[in-house]
Amino acid sequence: LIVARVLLLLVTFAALATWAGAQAPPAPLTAAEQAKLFKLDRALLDNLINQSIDLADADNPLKRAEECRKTSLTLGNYLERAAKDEQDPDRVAELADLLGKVVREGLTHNLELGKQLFPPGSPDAARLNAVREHAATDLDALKNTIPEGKIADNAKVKAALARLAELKAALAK
Amino acid sequence: MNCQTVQHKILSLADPRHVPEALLTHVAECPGCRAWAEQVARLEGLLEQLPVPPAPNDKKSQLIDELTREGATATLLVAPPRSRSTGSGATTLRMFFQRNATLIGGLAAALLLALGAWWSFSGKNGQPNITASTPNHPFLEEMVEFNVALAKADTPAKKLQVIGMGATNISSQARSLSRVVGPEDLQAIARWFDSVVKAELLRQAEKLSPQAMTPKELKDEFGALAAKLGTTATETEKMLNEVSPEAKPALQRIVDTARDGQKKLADLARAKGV
Repeated sequence: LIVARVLLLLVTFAALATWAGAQAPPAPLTAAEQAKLFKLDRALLDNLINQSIDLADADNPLKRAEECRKTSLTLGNYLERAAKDEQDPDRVAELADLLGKVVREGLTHNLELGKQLFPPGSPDAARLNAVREHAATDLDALKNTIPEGKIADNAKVKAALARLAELKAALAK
Repeated sequence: MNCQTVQHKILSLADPRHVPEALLTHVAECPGCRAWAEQVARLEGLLEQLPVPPAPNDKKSQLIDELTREGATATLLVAPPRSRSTGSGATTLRMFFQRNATLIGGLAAALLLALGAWWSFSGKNGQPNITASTPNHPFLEEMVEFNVALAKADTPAKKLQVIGMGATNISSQARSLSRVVGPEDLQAIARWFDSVVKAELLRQAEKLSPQAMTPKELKDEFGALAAKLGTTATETEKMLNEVSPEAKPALQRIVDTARDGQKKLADLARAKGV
């Protein structure tokens, strides 16, 4: 009876600790982690700031969609580097999610706006359609940049790539 | 050696009436410690004089008999001889569990912890779990959000608001990294702040036509942006005294850009008649 009580108490405690751990927000970064991540991402951040200047200047949905595609390509390049050179599944998943955000919220939003704005058959509509097709192809090509093994088998990477595949399917429609 | 230490040492002596040489020097010169040593020595002498009743000669053998006689408490503590012929297997097992409950509980806890650790640190294919390595980079996420928000901002007024937030985030990053990264990295952040304020914020502010907003909205918008830049300048200026001399030029550049932007926004507002 004593053993059963002790075991029950331990199992309850372990379950509660697991649940509490899952609820807690991620711990804030230490100074060393901040510095390390900044150095790692400095070139990518530089690209993103430059692209934000172009985005601010883009004054119609077509231009904004084109700029979003450029941003997604930049993130895709860094994702490939993280997969092949850095061999870091966390970073691959992080970049895949950020890329997905740009495509889902930035690119798709402007593709929809452009569809309403540009008459079918117009040069701008054709260009918009080309951006959509290129973006879908980019997403498709992305999964081929992930090498087989540690990175491709990682659960977080698989989930992030599955989300991108859904996004690609939505773009292709 | 201070008085408190000397007095503690005297108190811990086996016989405080014999103060060692090391302490004597201090005791001889310090009236307080001398009085203390004398008091402790007197107490030791008085304790010796306290009457202690002598023990009877056969007390020891009486005590041994008392402890070893049948039914005494001491004998109960000795485990009874184990017999294979008495009791069922279940009873023996229960007795074993009862006697070793703490040990079994401890082993179970260790097993659970080991299972928990294995579950946390290993993936399906024995790879390290994701949570154990590189954390996400919040500033990178902020800058991607910045680009996405700009892609969704379809009017100069909305763009201005987004750019104002972006500039604030960049300056905040400069302040938080000012003690942990080198001057080159800080200069890069100062350059980004410069680009966002000059090439994006002021350019969009110039583009903003008076027809896009009411004069009050325009005044409020420019006022809010100028206030943000003012706060950035003040907060960054405060840090100038807290960082290394190498970090100062980058932070000073942010202060200057923010003050300049604030002034240009005020000029633009006047030029637009608000």
